[in-house]
Amino acid sequence: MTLRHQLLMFDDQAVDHFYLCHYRKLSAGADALSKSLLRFKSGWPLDVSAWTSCGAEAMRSTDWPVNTLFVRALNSTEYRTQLDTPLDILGKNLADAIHGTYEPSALRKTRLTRELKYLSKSERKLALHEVYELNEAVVKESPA
Amino acid sequence: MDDILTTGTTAKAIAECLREKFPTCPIKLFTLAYVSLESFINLNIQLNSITYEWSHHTGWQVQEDDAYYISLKSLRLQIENNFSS
Repeated sequence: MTLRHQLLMFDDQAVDHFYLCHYRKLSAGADALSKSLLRFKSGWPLDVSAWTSCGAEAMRSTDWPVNTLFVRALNSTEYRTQLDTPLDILGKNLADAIHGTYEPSALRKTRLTRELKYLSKSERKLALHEVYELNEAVVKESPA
Repeated sequence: MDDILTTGTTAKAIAECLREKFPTCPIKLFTLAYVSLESFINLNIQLNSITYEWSHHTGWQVQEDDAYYISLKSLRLQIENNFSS
């Protein structure tokens, strides 16, 4: 398995984006994989296992640096990371696949945010403005 | 990392936060999926059966049998097959 890749431009900064597949919104007529992704988000065990194992396998086929530190996005209901969510399972497995480190509490939010699903891009930008901060104590202690 | 990349706003907010502390550190983004509005994607995967359901949020939408995949192996196969499409 090879990860799909695209280059994202965040202002003047380029960020490599790797992903497994495309997602179609329900309004566009969700396909089987897109529906399975929604189940992953909801924590259905079979879907979590499948996406996690495929993600880890794809990660092993890349040349990501072994000392990569993985951090994850927080959802709108999270102020601090809640452990053992599907994303945490994914993060741990991705890190294990390349002998990296997953640090779930490296990021935290300065405030709770609105649910982004129904917001426009400009509303999302406003909602997330300076909301993330780095937990420096955790990052400094991380082996990565 | 995140599950689905939609507008990229969350990823950008996190990248800005990381860059502030580690300006020279390479940042890569991993997501399981990337939102595309193009209608042809993922269509190589055959639907088991198609019905339609009305949603007050999204209007008419395609629904699929819940039992489309019955095992971890079959779902993994679908994800893997999607790589080669």
